[in-house]
Parts: sequence; C-alpha cells; structure tokens
Amino acid sequence: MSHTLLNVTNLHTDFETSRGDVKAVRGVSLSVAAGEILGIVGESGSGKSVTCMSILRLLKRQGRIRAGVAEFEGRDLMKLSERELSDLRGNDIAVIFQDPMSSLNPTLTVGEQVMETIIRHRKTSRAAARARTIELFKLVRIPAAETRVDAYPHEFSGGMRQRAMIAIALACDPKLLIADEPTTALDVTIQRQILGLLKDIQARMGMAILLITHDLGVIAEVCDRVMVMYGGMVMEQASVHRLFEAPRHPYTHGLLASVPDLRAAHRARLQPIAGSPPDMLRPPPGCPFAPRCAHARSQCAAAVPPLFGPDDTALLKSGHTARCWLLHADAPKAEGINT
Amino acid sequence: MSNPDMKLTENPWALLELKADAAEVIASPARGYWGDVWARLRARKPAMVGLVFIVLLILAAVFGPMISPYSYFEQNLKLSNIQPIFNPYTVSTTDEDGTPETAHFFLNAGNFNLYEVDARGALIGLIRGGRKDMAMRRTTYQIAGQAVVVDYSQQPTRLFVDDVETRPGGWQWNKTYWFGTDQLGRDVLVRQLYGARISLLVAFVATIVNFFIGVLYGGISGYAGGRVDAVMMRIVEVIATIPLTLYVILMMVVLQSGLISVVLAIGTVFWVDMARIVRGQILTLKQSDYVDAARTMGARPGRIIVRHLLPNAVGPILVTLTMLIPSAIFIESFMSFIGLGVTPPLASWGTLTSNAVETMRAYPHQLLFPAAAISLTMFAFNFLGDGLRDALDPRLRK
Repeated sequence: MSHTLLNVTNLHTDFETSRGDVKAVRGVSLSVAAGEILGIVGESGSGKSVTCMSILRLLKRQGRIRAGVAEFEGRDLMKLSERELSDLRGNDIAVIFQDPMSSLNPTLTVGEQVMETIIRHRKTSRAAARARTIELFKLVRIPAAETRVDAYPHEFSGGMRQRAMIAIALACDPKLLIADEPTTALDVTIQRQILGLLKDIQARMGMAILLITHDLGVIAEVCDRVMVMYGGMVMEQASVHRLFEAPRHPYTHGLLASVPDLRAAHRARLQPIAGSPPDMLRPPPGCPFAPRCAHARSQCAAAVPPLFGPDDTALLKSGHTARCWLLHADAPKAEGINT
Repeated sequence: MSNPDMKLTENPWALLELKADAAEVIASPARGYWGDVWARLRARKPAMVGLVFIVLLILAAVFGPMISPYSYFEQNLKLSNIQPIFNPYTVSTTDEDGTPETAHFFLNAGNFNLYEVDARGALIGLIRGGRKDMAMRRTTYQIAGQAVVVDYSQQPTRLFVDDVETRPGGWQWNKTYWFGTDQLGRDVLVRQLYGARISLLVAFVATIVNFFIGVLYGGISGYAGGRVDAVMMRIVEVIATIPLTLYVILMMVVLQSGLISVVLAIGTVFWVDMARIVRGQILTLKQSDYVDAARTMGARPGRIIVRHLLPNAVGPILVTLTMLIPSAIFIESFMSFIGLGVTPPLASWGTLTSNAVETMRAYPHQLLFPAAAISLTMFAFNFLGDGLRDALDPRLRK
C-alpha cells in the first residue's frame, strides 16, 4: 500500500441552531492512501457530506468544527490559515459537487470557469490556461472542445455540465478529489458514463478519490474501500469485497438488503430499514442505529459501541472495522451478523 | 405496395454508422444572455421610446451648445422675453420712388413692445422710437411710413394702423430663438441644453457612486454577513435618515459653488439604496452552489464578489440604476428650484423653472420647456427601467 495522503482523526462537527447544537459528525476517523478510491456511503443526514466539507473547512455559517485533526501530507488542515487553505483548495484537493445545474456560474462561460482555477493556482498566461482547458475538455470527453470552451452553462446538458465540473476539479492535477454524490442528479445512462470517466481518469492520473454516495451500486462499481456512516459515526469500514461478502454491522446488512435486485426472484419484496435516522439534536446515548436495529440489546442503547477491529474478534479480517456490540467476545450469536 | 409512405430508400438495411455522443450535440446556436435581453427590450415600445429619448438628450446636451450661436450667459436686454411662437402683423406702403416697403412685426403682449421680424419669422430687432402716452396708455410708432398705435388701455391689447384696428396675419415660429428668450434676453434653448448637461452630470455622478460605492459596499456587506453586515447596514441607515436638503445646506457652508455642493451631496448619500438592493441580492446569491464551488476551487472573497456574485445581480442593479438616475436629476432640479443649486448665470432645469415661475402668467413658455424637459426625462428613465426589469427577468424567457 502506498503512503497515506489524508488522515482524519476524531473529527467532531456541530451545527449551531436556535434549538441547540446539531451533532452532525461525532468522532469520525478516516484515512485515504494516495491513488485509492474510498467510498463513503450512508443515508441522508448521516454526516458524510459534512465530514468532507469539514476537512476543507467549507462549512456553512452555522457549522463548527469542535475537535479533530485532518492531516493532508503531514499538514493539519484545521490549523492552516484561510489563505494557505485557499491555496490548497482546487490545487491539491478538488471537489465535484452533486448538482452540476447550479454549481456553474450562469454568467461566465464554462471555459472561463475552468481557466479561473488554472490561473488562480498555476499563475499561467490566459493563452496557456485556455490550451489547458481545451485539453481538459478532451480528457473529460466533451465533444467539440474548442468551441465548447466559449459556451455558457445553460447551453450544456446535465451530463456535459458534470463533465465540465470534473474538468474544473482536474484543472490543477489534484492529489485528492472529493466527489460529493457526483451522479445523483443525473439520469442512469449518464451516471454510468460519468462513473466510467472518473474511474478512467483516476487510473490515468493516479489521484485519490473520496467518493460520497448513498448508492451502493456506485460503490461496488468504482471503490477500493468503503466506509459506512450512520448518525455522524463510522459504522463499518472494509474493502469493497469484504463489505459486500461479509458485512458485520446490522446497518450495512440493512443497506444491502434494501438495494433492488432485478435478478431476484419474481415478486421479491424490497426490505427497507424500518424507522428513520435519529434526531442529531439529541442523539441517543447508545448506538445511533439501536432504535432501528432488529438485533439491538440493552447494551446497545446504553453505550456507543467502540470500533472493533481484527485484533478484537476473528470475525473481522485485516482492514475491516465495525462499530457493533455484537462483535464483543461475550455477545450472543445473531443470525448473519456474528456467525 | 399501394401506400406511397411505405416506399423504401435505396439499400435500406445497411448498418447505420454510429457517431459517438451524437445526442450531446447542441441543436440550435444559442443566443447569448444579452442578446436575449436586447430582443425582449426591443419588443417593449415605451422602453425603446425612453431609450431613444435618453440617447437624443445626451447627444443634444453634448453637441447642442457647440452648434448653437448663442451662449448661456450673453444677455440681450433689447430682446428679452420673446415668445417661441408669435403672430406678426404686416404693414406695407409704397414710398415716393414707387418701391414697395413691407414691414412684419409682432406685439409682445407681456411688455407691449413691438419687434420687427422678416417674412420667414427670423427676428430683426426691437422697434424703437415709439412715443409713449402714459395718460392714454398707448404707444405710437412710425413703421413703414404709417402710424402704428399700440393701445393697452384695455385687455387684450389692440393695435391700430392709421387708426384702423388691425388683426395679425397668422401664427409663426420664432426662427431665431426656437424656445424664445428669458427676461434677460438669453436664448432659452441653449440655456436648457446647458441645463441638460448639468442634469446629465448629476446622473453621471449618481451612476458612478452607485456603481463604485453602492454596489461594492452592498456586495461586501452582503458577502461578509454577520456583525460586519450589521454595522455596515446601520451606517447606511444613519446616512439615509439625514435629509438631503440639510446635506446641501451644510456643504454650502464649507464649499462656495452651489453645483459642487449638490453634486457632492448626491455623491455622498445617493448610493445607500443601491447598497441595500445589492446586499439583499448578494445575501441570496451567496447561498448558490457555484459560490461554494468557487470557494472549493480556492477563489478569494474579492474575486467571488466581483466575478461570481455581482454579474448575477446585474439585473436588479441595472433596474435600480435606471430608477435612481431620474430621482438624482429631480433632486438637483429641486435644489436649484429652491435656490440651493447652480449659481447664475449657469442654468439648470431647476433654476430655469424657478425663474419662469415668477413670470408664469405673461410668459408661460419659459416654464413649459424646462418643466417638460424634467418630466419627459423622468418618464424616459422610468419607462426604460420598467422595460429593463421585464427584459432582465429570466422567467419571461421564451
């Protein structure tokens, strides 16, 4: 395995509201190695986007990072000045947003928006930036790149705009690309094209990707490693193969069971996870998933389970961690979880 | 094969050559944003009329005084209070040599003077040498060998030529002074063109401060938000609550010229409305994803405000501007009207109206022209602003 690019430890992020602090991220730790694709999966409100925005310190006004360290190539992002950070954003770490419709400024040409980033970080001439932009447009397979550079966002289709967003993100050869649900706003055929493109570019340029999604299909398709988040915590973390073959957390089981399978037997019913995510204004004292978990015990409601690793139980192989009391050595057997 | 629609082309089942991304090719060449706006604006008649009027006004104010043979300060007391339209009398005789002699002249009902004009309506001069008979309230002139008597003992004034009451020959435009002259014999038209220059100067100053102070102030306030925003907006409120008249009077204490005081007063306070509008716009626009995107790409706040936020607020900014310009022009006119504006002999539309009001009964034309200029300019800017608001509204995009 190559060296660690990003190492986040014990990140806590709150949102201040009039009713109190919403604890969006509660002690998330993660690491991304150079050239690796890490997927973060979870329901809406599980804290996956907030985790990524916290890393770049791009939270909305009410967001507060209470604790945590985010080391990027040995520098703690939490301690950098705003100026140092803005030199880093777009240059070493780039972001692709969910909605390409609104992420492009309607009053500037698409090319101008790509060039802006190049000129900002590379201090090149406009002509050089333009040449680089055309090159990038070709890389993300925008047809007729030379003329499209001067087009406005409203002249682009959704898929084309997302390609343009990717071109902006790739403008300065970032070492880490954060893709926040890059395909959610697109229709299925375009989704596949964009994912294929991302994977292809990653293979060619070798940057690391942090892919946020709620779509397990996307995870299976492109990621090396997966992190499952729930209630602002990491629930389970493993390589893609491990996670799909031997999930150890009941929540991961639930997620996998709720994916529609077209090849499943006729009339097989989808199995949604009952209930809804916890109120993060007053999170439960125990496991956040306990109120919805079919296997929940009283221990689960009493205390937040620690992150069990391969050293704690034989059920977890190397690199596989999960936050569930059922992995405790004394825990009773539960069908499918710890058997 | 009876149905002609079923006829096949040559080699119909050959494989179609697939072109990659054929679906992504744009079908129609899109018209740019400003092209759209212009097309919608052109469809609005009042807005276009307003725009044409403003363009003509600017051209007239810039080139008019250059072309005019008169200046705004040269007085000609012999030709004071001349109307732009008059009704001349014609007197003709044949002298001893047999050459016919004809004289055209008109009576200025305001001051009972007679002015000689030529056949086309160009002014020749004041007819002098009248014998005034104060007791009988009449003045007798010798014109073309005939005795012309102006009898103003009763209203309306009557005119007798050789003791026969004579009627004028028909209305004629003043070819020398198109808008007439004022009480000091200065050309009203050229003074009004100078007035237009002052109005446009004020409009220009208002535009500049709105752009450079109002837009940036509002932009910074809206973007910074929080405490900075609160403090900046309270300053705006303090400035907005002090009456403009008070500012002008205070500035006149320090500065000499009235015009500079008015321009400075407008310059210092006129951006507050714009600042408020822009702030409101920025507050909503800064939530946009593209602002987040720009920030994640490392763009600095100054660049985000200038490149990303303000261009998106250009619609409301333009509309506010076209609404603020006429009110600045009006404020200058009003200040001049109440005597706080430009100093004589310089004329602004406000001083022209205020001077004309004194002689409104006798010479209503002196009031008509500057008043019409003020109102028409207000209309023109408001129509244009209205049209722009509609044209810039993307919801109306077809």
